[in-house]
Amino acid sequence: MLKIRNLVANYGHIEALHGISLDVGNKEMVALIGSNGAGKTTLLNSISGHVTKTGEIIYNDVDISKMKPGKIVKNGIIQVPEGRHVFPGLTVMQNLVVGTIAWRGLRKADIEEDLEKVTTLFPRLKERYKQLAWSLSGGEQQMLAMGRALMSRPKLLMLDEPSMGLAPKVVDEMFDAIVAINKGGTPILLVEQNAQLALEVSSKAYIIEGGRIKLGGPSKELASDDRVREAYLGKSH
Amino acid sequence: MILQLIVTGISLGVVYGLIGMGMVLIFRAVGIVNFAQGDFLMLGAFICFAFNQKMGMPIWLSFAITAVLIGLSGIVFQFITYWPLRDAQDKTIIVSTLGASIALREMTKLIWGSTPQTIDPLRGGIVKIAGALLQWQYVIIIVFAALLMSMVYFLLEKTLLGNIMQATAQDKYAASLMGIPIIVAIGLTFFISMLITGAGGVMLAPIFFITNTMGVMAGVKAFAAVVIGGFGSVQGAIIGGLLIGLIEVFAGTYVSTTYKDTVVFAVLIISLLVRPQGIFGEKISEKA
Repeated sequence: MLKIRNLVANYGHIEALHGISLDVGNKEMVALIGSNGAGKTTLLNSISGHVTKTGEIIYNDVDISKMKPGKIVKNGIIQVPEGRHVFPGLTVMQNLVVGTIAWRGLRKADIEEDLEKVTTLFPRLKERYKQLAWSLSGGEQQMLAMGRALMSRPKLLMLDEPSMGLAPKVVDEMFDAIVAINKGGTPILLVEQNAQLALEVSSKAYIIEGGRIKLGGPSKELASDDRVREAYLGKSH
Repeated sequence: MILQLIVTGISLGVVYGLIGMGMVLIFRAVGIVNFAQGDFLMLGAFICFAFNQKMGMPIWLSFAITAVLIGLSGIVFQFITYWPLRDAQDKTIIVSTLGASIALREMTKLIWGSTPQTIDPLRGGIVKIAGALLQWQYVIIIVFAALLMSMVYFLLEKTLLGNIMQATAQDKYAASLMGIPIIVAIGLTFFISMLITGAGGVMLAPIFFITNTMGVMAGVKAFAAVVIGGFGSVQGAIIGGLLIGLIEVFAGTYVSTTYKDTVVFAVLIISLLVRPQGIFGEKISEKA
């Protein structure tokens, strides 16, 4: 459903991605692995329309590379940014409802229904409904960021470092939810520094280094690849 | 006597609070202090003067049309002074608002001249409350400013539109990721900010003379109100405004009319020394 060909992205005069090609299939969970500064976030920002770029981004047979961010969101591509970026001065509920802007959710019943779904997945958000988002813990903020994205009714979800800065137990919870969302039929493009975890939950993965795709293939194969094991899984052969 | 002073002080104070609220809305949305805020108060007074005195429209109708027009002028103002410079440094944009302030003042002078003007009060005459004789205009100002403030509060906190405006002000990147059209949200913020400021001008106009520099002192006092209240806080702007209005009126009566502004700014300096973050200052640093 998402097909990227020869994507070159620039920040001013600095080229950050040097010709990336990758595919995300229907209902697939695809992981993007790489170190800091490899270009993972830039890739997501390019897809969501926040970076100037050339190349093709074909989404459901339409080239979206020239579209404005708002239009891309309307098409169902929703990005959960690195560092959560919840709206600090809004309550948990207000944060969630802002997510409905993507499909112009005006009917109260529709919004209630989506809120119910999201809070079933993340019950802790319901307990914190009236709290301002800045007062939440890191894990709760990540849940809120994910919940807010789900309120947008994503057809393709892009997650940027959902495990960053979270306690191991919370990471497990988070990934249970991510797997559940994917099982529900939403394709996910997952950017993750925790390569082991990313390879476990995804069906396909790409290794990105210095703005280029270094390797790509089924996650199981990559997990047993010596180069990957050494560089990203911290195991020698 | 005391009650009259209090009512007068509060009515001036709510207008300062209203302008201050307008400043805070813009500050939170785009991170800059708008030094032309007071000039929109002046512009509001003049536009209302044109409808009310030149064209002979009733005052309430003039008021309503003025409020909408001033709001729209806020959107134009945003497109001229902020949007082209949005990626520039804050100080560049601040200078641009200073430039707009001078331009607005001179433009007004060219159109309406430099003779002080006046408009009809929203309601003339005297009302007797608790044994004190009060001018209706002061009472109306308090009621109407409070109404406007509550409406803005309701919009921001209780409606999706308001939540979108707040979301945009708090995190533009995340707002854009949610599909919010940033320019619309910011434009709307400028609309509301200028609308309440212009309304303040119309309400003050029957009390003071309308001149092209009437916005300068009002703008500076509103800025002082925002600083005393805690920069970025809406409640702070209102409380700070009330404080300054009351100090101004009491100083004018018990110290001297010449030095009332001196007293106001002395209080500003003292408050900066004692509590530099302002009354509601802490909450902001937590929110940031």
